[in-house]
Amino acid sequence: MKDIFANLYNKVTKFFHQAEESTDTSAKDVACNRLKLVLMQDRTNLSPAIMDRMKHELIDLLSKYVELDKELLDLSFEQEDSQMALMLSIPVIRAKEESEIEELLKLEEEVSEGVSEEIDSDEEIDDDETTEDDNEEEDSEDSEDSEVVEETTTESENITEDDSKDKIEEKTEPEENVEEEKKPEPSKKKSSKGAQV
Amino acid sequence: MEMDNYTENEFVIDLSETKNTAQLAAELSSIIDKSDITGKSVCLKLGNLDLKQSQLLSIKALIESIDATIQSVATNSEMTEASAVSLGIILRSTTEIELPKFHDSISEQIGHLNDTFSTAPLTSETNTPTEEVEASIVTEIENSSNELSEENSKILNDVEVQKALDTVLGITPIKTEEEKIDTTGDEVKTNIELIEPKQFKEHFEATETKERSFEEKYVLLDTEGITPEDISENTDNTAELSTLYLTQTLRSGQTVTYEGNIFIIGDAHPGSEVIATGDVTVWGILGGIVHAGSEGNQTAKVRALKLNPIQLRIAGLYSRRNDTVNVPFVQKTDEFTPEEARINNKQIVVYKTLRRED
Amino acid sequence: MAGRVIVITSGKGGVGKTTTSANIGTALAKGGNKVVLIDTDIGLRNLDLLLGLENRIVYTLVDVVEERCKLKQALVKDKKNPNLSLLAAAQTRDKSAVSQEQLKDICSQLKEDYDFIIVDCPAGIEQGFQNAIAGASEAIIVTTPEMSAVRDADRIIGLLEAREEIEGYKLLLNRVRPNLIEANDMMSVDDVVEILSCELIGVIPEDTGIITSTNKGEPIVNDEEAMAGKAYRNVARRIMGEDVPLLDLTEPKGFLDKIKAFFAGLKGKV
Repeated sequence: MKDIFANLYNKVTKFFHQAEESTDTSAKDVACNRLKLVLMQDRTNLSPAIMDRMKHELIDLLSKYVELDKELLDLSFEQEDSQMALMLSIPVIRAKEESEIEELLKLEEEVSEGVSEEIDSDEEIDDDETTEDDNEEEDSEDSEDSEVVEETTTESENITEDDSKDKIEEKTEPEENVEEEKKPEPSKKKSSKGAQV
Repeated sequence: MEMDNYTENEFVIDLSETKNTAQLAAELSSIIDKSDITGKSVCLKLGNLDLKQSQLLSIKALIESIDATIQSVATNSEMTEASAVSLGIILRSTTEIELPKFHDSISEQIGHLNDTFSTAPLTSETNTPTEEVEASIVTEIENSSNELSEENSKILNDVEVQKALDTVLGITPIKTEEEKIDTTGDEVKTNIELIEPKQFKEHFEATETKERSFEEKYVLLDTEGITPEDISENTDNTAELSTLYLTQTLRSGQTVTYEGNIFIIGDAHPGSEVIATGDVTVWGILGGIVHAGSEGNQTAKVRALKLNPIQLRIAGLYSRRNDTVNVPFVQKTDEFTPEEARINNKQIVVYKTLRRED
Repeated sequence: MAGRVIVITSGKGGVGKTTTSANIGTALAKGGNKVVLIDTDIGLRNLDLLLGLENRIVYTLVDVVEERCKLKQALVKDKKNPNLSLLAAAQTRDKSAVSQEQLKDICSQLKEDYDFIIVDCPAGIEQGFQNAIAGASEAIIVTTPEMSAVRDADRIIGLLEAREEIEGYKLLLNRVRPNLIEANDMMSVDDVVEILSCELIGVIPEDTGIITSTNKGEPIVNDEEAMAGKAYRNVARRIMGEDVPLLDLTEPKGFLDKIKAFFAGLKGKV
């Protein structure tokens, strides 16, 4: 008996409470959330593929100094009022020893020199690169580099033209060129701009 | 009974064809609008219509509101008779009406001919809407003998009447009442024959054609500074020009320009343009912009099965649809009303049928 | 005093740019200003229809640009309000018939004689849009509270921001349905303003009167009673500098709604 009344009561109150129940997943909220995401993507002009690539590069870069959990690393754009910011959350497993870091840096220098030679003499360097690659300790970069190197050397021209900074970046740039040619540069610059904002 | 005392200002309003009071009211008000009956005394022919006293009183009031008076009422209905009597209106029997010589007799003889071609609403069996009549001139006289019926006609002045009579050959009247018309007047011909189109045309051109026939439909655009000033005027015969023969419908945004005449089997949708140095004929609905005689040919004509262009331009005269006909979309219809537009007396006039021979 | 050139744009088609141009133009003219409306949607012109002037167009923007007539000859005065003039687009050409410089030049010529030049922009971001914003110094971005329109509006705002000549831009939210907003099915005014981070110049409710006003060729601002008409008149006042509060668009609640609200309120308290 009690159940029947309870059911009836519930039904009646449900009817009157209809307005409140749907607040959680209202169409409007769904729309707003989707829209915010879409707009952020539109504004930064980056496709998800490029975001992924940027994420990988950052992982590689940071992995030199700290050991981090690559799966949990999160990279996204956030908007506050009219400002956009690039947010990166890095779960650290452990910091690397200084000695480890220095070793890695040395190795990379050698690799980057090998890469610059590549530009001058086209096909010969392939072997050099691969042998050098075998010496690399970092897993993710190995396969990627070897794949890259087998690609055309025209892309390596991009590397020399790139004014920036780290030799490490030079090395990892070929990765980008696998997928698209000129785009990586502008988008990279944009992302850094975004980060500063 | 003051049958014999017809004054110059007598006016006969024939409402006997109306079937109910609504029609009567519509007829009456349109007649009043178009005709100049202020200060005149009116004879009302009411036929078989039954009117209560109050209704008759309101008709009387309406007529008096424009400074006219009801002289008499002719009716077959007893109810109306009684109402008239109680209001003090003189009655007369319909069969005994002696109409002024130049009223009904002429109106039947000439048919739809009157000098403004739009004042008379047709109360004929065909039930032609008055608006269309206003906008055009019915010229199929030779076929219209069967369609003729009594009409309300504006008073023609004597000169015009004389002219009309001179050219009128006559039409067989269809109402029996006409046989009893007193034709003692010198000017009335007793033998009424059909009017030849040529003579009709001559007559028409002789009388002054006012803009009223098309004003309702097409309004000349302000020619100062808007329309091109440098269009020369010529009157070449368009029949001697070559003709472009199109068998498609023109859609919005499409333009056809030709040096000569253009003949289209199809429609011309609003938004399209048809520009010809000669005539334009559309065997369909003309809804776009049309320019006939684009280089100044004053005799160019525009014809269509349904003439409804956004702008009708002939030579240097640009005219537009009236604002009340604000339908930008093509009204596809099964009813076609063939019309022709040409320049007459520096106005663009729309005619219901085509000129047969020049 | 030079006139203000305001472009009415949106990106997305069908959100109400032409309706807004016609109504704001008419309202400004009613307020005593000399207004000229320019339709830059060449090939698909509509502004003349909304004003009921489609029968009177002899010369168009393209004729002016190609020098077949003088600018004055192409300006058609409104039927009712002599303060309002229209420079119509051509129906038989397309947007490549006019260039940005040409439109900019026309705007500067008109600035000398008119208080307001309202430029109706076509949908899209290509040449038609580029032409329309060429001579403008202010912009009103029209959008509806639905996803695709807001996204396109955002793109347009981005493009306008990048352009130096546009000194200011405001948002006009059109076709708002207060009952859907209340039921949380449609984004609210605040949501859209926040997402686009753009200042609001007005909110126009969805009004079936718009359909009849278009059919008749009479802008809805001429209707004293219509809500949309009132809203548009307020926008015109704001453009002229007046500070007008937003209309309360909520419709009166029915009896059943009131009961529901009562019980909903109870639930929290029990």
